[in-house]
Amino acid sequence: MKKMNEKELEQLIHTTLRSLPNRRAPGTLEARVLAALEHRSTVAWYHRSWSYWPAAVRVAFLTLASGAATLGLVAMYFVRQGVELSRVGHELAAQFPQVAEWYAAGTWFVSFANRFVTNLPALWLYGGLATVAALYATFFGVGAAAYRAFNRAS
Amino acid sequence: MQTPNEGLTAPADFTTFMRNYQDMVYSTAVRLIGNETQAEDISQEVFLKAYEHFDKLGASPSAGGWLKTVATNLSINHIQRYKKRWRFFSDIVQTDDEGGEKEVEFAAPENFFTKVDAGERREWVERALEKLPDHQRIPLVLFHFEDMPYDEIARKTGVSLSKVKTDILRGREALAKILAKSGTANEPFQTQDRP
Repeated sequence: MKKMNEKELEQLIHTTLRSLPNRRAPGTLEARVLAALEHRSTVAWYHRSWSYWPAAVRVAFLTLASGAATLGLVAMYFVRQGVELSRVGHELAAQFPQVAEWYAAGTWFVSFANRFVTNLPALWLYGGLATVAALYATFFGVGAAAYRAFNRAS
Repeated sequence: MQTPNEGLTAPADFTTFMRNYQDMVYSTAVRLIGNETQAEDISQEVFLKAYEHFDKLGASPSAGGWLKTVATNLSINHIQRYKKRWRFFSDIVQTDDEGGEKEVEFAAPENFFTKVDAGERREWVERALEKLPDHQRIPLVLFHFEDMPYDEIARKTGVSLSKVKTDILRGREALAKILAKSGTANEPFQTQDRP
């Protein structure tokens, strides 16, 4: 047995590794890439990331988003100035009756949920939460045990 | 010319482009990841990215470098993501590699496998590389195959510079021991399936 220092070892490993040719890619790779490209071309633009959206849609989206942000800022300004919200609400309801209906439906749902949670016995609420937590922990534990038993053993 | 983003099917020259580089991309991924199936997935991802930039890459002399960099980055991201996700399940054990010997002993120091042919030698080395644990194989591959300096390896893998140096040294020692043992014993490697 011969002793080597770090530099000699580095040189030997470097020469050994660099003498390796490229490994041959699997024959299925090309077909997989082409199939993925084919599939990608059939996916609608709205299911893809922003960079794939048509230019006109991107401009429209930016315009709408900027408009909404500006509206939000203006609304905040008026609120800070002490504008009566109920009066603004009535004005808006008069102008856009559809929005008023949605608002009323939303308000009813929130108040119903609030009453439901308030009137629910504490035992039911905490019991339900504990059951969900126990089920989740069981599921997680069973998953971990199954992985350790089957996947690592193979 | 059909641009990649609008394309319905891959142009013929992209297929040629892919054939020219697929072995290099796959080799980069499989040596870093140490798993053939996952390396094929990464290679596919690399070529899908290449297709998006094919109008620039197609005729570029730096296409090979671009592909290698993307393959390296995607492989490292994959390993780090995978490691985090399965740490709890797989009980990854990291041995303490700090400190240690400065000299290593093994047979056949001038070269490995003087008695085996080139094809067999290549197979031995590839299998030996696969046998190394991730924390040794990844920096070792980055250093020796990608010519990446220690500090960049540390930055890319998110570990300290001293740990990178130690891991690479340990990796070299482990690889040398496996190869020396294999070369003299001339026994087939037991390939280790990674989860």
